[in-house]
Amino acid sequence: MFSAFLSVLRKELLLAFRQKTDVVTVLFFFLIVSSLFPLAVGPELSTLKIIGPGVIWVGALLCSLLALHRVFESDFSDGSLEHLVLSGEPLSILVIAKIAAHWLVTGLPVVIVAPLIGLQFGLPSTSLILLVGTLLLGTPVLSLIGSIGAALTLGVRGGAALTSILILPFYVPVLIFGAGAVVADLQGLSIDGHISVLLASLCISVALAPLAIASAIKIALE
Amino acid sequence: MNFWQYSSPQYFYPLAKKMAIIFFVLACILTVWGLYIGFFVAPTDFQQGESYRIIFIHVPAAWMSMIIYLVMSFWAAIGLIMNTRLSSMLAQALAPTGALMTFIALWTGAFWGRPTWGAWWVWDARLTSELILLFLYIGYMALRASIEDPRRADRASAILALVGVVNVPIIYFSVKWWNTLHQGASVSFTKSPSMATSMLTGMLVMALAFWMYSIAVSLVRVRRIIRDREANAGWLNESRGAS
Amino acid sequence: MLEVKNLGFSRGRNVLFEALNFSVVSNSAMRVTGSNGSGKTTLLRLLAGLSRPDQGMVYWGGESVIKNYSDFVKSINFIGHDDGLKKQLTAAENLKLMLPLLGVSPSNQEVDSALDAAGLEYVKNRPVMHMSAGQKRRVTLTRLDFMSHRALWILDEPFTSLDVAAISSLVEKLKNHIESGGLLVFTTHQSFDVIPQATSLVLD
Repeated sequence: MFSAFLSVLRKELLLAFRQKTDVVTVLFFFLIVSSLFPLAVGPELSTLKIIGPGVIWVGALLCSLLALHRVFESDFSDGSLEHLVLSGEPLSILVIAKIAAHWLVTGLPVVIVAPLIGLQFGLPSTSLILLVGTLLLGTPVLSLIGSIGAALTLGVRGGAALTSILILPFYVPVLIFGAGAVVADLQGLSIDGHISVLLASLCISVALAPLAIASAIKIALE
Repeated sequence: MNFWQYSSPQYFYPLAKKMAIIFFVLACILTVWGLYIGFFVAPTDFQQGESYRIIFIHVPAAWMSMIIYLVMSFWAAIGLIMNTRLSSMLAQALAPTGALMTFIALWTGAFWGRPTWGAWWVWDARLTSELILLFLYIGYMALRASIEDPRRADRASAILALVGVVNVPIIYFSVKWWNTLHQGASVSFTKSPSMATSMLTGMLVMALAFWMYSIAVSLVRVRRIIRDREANAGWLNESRGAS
Repeated sequence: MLEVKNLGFSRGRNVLFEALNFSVVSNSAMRVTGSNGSGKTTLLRLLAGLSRPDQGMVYWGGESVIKNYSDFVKSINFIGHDDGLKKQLTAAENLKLMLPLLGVSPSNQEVDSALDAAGLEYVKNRPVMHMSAGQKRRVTLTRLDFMSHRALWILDEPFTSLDVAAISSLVEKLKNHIESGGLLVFTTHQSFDVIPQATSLVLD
């Protein structure tokens, strides 16, 4: 099982390395979307500071959606998704390998770039650290939940737009508590609750999302 | 006569027609009765005046929107696990009614909010959760509509409904938290404890009327789904004259 | 022994087959033929346990393949319509990353020599997207060399896009497999009997 897990992970990372433009596109999308807000709202730092955490979180969320559609789609069309089933290993475990690789190449870069954008919104350094922390906890949840939508819409017409419609409502709690933690900290409130909820959603989604994804993939393959 | 035979579309089809008629009649009677209580028997609210009377529509619709989501997910899950066609068809038939109820709840909420809070829309925890519920219904129906093979559509949408059931409490809880954090002066739909008995009766009768209507409409819709999906089965043409 | 009992499958309103019964024993092969859309690929996917039948079941050694899937899958070699090759990776990389998933972990040298033997010496380190359909098919078929010990081979259109030399070498491989006690189920458009000892199943 472990060697199968590793080979899936290695294959995904090698593929991402060969197709660097995919990663770069997601990053640029994040930068551009976040830079549009000051242009629309105005340059007053006091306003930007209030909306900053929310804007960065929505940006990260949109990036996750943008990249998600590809998690299983090419594997589905070229037949390699079948190999995951034919391996006889638990599909939900192999799915975790795929999502982990996906997060490493699309989620992690966003987390790393986020403080730069935070600086543009005039966030203080404690907020920047907290922003990175909440994104580290929250973006894997986005990838896990989002992959359910990606698996359900495999081979369906209008898959990318449909995935967004299915998945965005489920992103609400992560968005509320992720961005909320940074805002609450700026206002001098306690953030223990936020962090606990983010941790809990990470645990729940690691435990349950792969099961849903595995059944969705099996349904799509039939 | 075996009860379980009704789990087959062939036997359910004629039964659904009879049941739909009964439930429609019940829905009409209860609606007339409930509206009569709502408009003529229930007293005017001393704070909100006449505008509160929209709760006779708003509250039952909001209740139904949530109950239908649960019932829909239940049948979808049964269809997924037991592989019974009729259960999945029932889930499919319930979704539009659930979405309609959610929409009515939001719409009447806006009409109620205008005179009460002075705004069409308030980011109240319940209204926001209701809005997200509408998105869940839309997602469910959109997924169904875009998968051509009905068997795959049944199973994929069942998974989505189940993911929704796990998430709805989490969403509701987080929206509530978010709301209390951001809105100091909370506005909410909480009724005063001393609600007149006639108001409560009217609301319960209307809720019952909404139940009957939802059941009746879903039965009619399930008949249409059976007709669409079992078109190549011989029994349908034979029984068409009879029922 | 592979047994199919009362198998039925329909796609939407379209009934592909009903009450299908047959069995394939060791040292034998079965050729599935039929017009386009008659359900050949679907039947093979049902045999490989990738799809669930509407009625009936597929049995391997007396046990339902769905129930015992993780054991069953270790005794089959399924090569489907889509090859599962990543076009950005080279043939060698594809095999090295694909095979551990299917249960064998060959060394780099073994992969290289298998590709050489398949006549891909000069293209094996090129990304698959620059290969012809026939070359890709050859890459896929080298999987059989690494997994030849598996008893049941299920091959969907294995001869498609292959040239005469490659066809005869594949036929040789398949005959060897059958003679050494294996089972083979395959579909083909080829009109001549490539494997004369194969029984025939016609879907309509």
